[in-house]
Amino acid sequence: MMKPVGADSIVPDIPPQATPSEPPPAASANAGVLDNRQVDHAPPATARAQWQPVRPNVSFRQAVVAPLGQEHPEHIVNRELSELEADIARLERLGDPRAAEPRDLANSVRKERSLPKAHELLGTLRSKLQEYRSSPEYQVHVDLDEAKRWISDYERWGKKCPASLTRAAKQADACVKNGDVARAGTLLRSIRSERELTQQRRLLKHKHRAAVQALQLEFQRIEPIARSAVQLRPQLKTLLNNYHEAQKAARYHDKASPQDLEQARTRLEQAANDLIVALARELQPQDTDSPKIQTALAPLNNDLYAALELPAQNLVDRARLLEPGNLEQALLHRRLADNGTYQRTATAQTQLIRDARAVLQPGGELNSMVASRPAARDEASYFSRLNAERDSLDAVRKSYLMSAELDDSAETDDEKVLSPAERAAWNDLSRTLARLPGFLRQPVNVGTLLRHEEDALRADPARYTTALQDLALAKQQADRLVRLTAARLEQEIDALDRFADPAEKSNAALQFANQHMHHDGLLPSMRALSVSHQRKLLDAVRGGLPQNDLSTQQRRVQSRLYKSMQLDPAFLHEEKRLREATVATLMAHKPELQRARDEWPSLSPARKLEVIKLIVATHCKVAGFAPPDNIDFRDLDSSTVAAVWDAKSRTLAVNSAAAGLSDFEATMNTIFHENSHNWQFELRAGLNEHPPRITEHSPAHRQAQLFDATMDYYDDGASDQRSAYREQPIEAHAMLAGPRFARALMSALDA
Amino acid sequence: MMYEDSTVFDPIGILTAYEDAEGQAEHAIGSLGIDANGYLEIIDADAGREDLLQTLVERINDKAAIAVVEGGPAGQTFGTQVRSIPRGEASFPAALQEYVRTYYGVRLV
Repeated sequence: MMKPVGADSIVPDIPPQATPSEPPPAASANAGVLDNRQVDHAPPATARAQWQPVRPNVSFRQAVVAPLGQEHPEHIVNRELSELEADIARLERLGDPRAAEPRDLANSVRKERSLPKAHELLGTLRSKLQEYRSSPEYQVHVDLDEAKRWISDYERWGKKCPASLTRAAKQADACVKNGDVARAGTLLRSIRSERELTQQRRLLKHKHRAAVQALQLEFQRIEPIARSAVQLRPQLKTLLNNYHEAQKAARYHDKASPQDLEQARTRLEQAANDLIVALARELQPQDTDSPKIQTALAPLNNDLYAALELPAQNLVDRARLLEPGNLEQALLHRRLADNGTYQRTATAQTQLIRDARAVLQPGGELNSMVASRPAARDEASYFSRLNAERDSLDAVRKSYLMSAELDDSAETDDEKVLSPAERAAWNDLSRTLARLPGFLRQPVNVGTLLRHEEDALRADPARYTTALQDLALAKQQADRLVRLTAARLEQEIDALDRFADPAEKSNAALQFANQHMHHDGLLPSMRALSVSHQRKLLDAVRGGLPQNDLSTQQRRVQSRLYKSMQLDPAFLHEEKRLREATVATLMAHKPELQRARDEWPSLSPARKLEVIKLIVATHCKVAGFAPPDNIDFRDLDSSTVAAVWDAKSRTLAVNSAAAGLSDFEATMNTIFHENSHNWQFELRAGLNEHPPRITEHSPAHRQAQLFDATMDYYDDGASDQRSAYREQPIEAHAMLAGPRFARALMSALDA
Repeated sequence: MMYEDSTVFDPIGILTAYEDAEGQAEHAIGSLGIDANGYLEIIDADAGREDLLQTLVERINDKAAIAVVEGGPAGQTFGTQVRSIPRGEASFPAALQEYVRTYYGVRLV
């Protein structure tokens, strides 16, 4: 049976109740009892408020507290009787004769079968005990019972109760028996006050130990690194000793005040942070270091950042499960939210942003740098951008490192692929990268970065600004290196023209490609090649052969070249503009499209075809290319194909039998994907027309050239597992455009 | 109408929802509970993003399967295929995450 959200079965079987305008139901026999209860001993207002109709979407809290409002009259009698019997028992323990009559009455209540009569007897018992309850000795008796219970708790837990307390309790007991209520009260107040102090002390001890333990746990992976680092960097020894002394000072002792303990924790945290910051700085190799020291520093540096990743994982875990960090609590919070009593706890993300703001406070210069970076909406996203910049640098660094030609074992410069200018640029880049602080050189969680950098930045914001300047310099140097290398590679590609024979040219091109494209070597530079050189290299590799006649090696190199191609930013910008315009135009049909979205699985094939035609026609009209000659929506007799673009017949065929196309979002993605292929053919035609429609001033010009260079050599993925099906420009574009259109359309329809 | 049984929504995990607007840094907008069959329920949501998450949850819970658009089968030129991954299949959670990210710009982690 289907069940809607909100109709939680955690709701107990609550009998139907009257609406608020109606009086609560009451059996005639119990009417007087209920009236009496409500007038003389009315339940708390919160309980009365539970006389509400059962709502279908009752919250967790309401479900839990609802039964309190419907407490059965028998239960009320029993509960009140138990409370009164506790007073009777106290009087009996003290040998007070006032206990006799109430005890008889209590026994009568227990034996009474009639509820109204039981209530009547209970009222009499209450009034009999009222005199005792309002007497001065009553509170003393209650306090004495409590003191005795507290002392017996010590024994129960195997602890020795302080002698002073046992003595005071015995004296208070004797005073009560002798009728010296005033003296007993004084003694009991002193016991109560000492008890509260002990409880506070115990709580303080527990909290302090937990906080110190958490700090030490976080630091336990770093301490061995620091011990090893001291051998290489003796200047770290003082900081390590400071940490150890702070550890000793943070041990709990009874005479320490809460302020002393807090200071000890702060000192420990400060010592740990100082040591981490110093380690991050000192473990960087310096030019003055001997090769032996540099070699020894590298693994320690790696260990340090691996150790700092650990708390980052905790941060992620906290974000995944809302604080206080377990599933039950998170669910409870969700349910209490229905009642409006739940305040959302700070997630790691908001904490992150708060921390990031604190980081930015010290440096006005840094603030201005943040402001100068567009689309950095907050500090966390700014740091994410820094990470992205670092990642792009990393790609350049890895690319050149993987290039075997950098191997210094090569005996002559001729054996090394990098030119002297490239080598100089690479050395500049390496030196700048080495100057960057670890967080800009190594992948590190933003949260970790903020936590561990904050104190250092407060102390020395200039260091941070310098690091950012180094990062900008490193990016410039990386760009220069990539440009230099790309220019040299283009010269080598031009040199392939010396081969007149296509087969010889192909062999030379394959050799060139294998030399520069093993693994991901020099990928950034290959991506930086001009379109004409990318095309020239592709043509040379193919050796004039059609796709079906290419050798395995030619196909593999072609795939690698496809993978090194990127969609042109200018084209992507134009594509986005046209996509958004298409969606905006489609909003003239918003109600029909919303209905189609909501009813898509059950929509008739004719109606589905109408929607598909509307999407395709609008896309073509807005982007300015011809619509398909035919749009078929029929059973394509294939269990796998959902839609196909047939360039020859200019037909977009959609498989009405494809199960996946009962999904509206996926259908929109598919339609736009296939019609993007239509657009690609139109762009190619526009490029080759006389005069060309797509000129070099067109934002689509560069991308159209790439489509033209690859369209007749379509990688259908059938020949080789290492194919570039997804990366070839034609599919890379369609696979980007389809989902983004579907998402934009869904968003516009929901707006 | 969401559940096939009469039991309460019984999550097996909590997912943080990050909104990933095109060209902008993503940011957390709430938390969703997910049960063993991939049904979702809102645990909490940032002010202003409740509607997005509510729509998302309703749409996903209404689906018996997640459709995954892929390139055409091997040997097919300019074609696409769409696979349906029903609830309960091992690949369903990954497909669900990808679907929600692709069509609603929400990354569930």
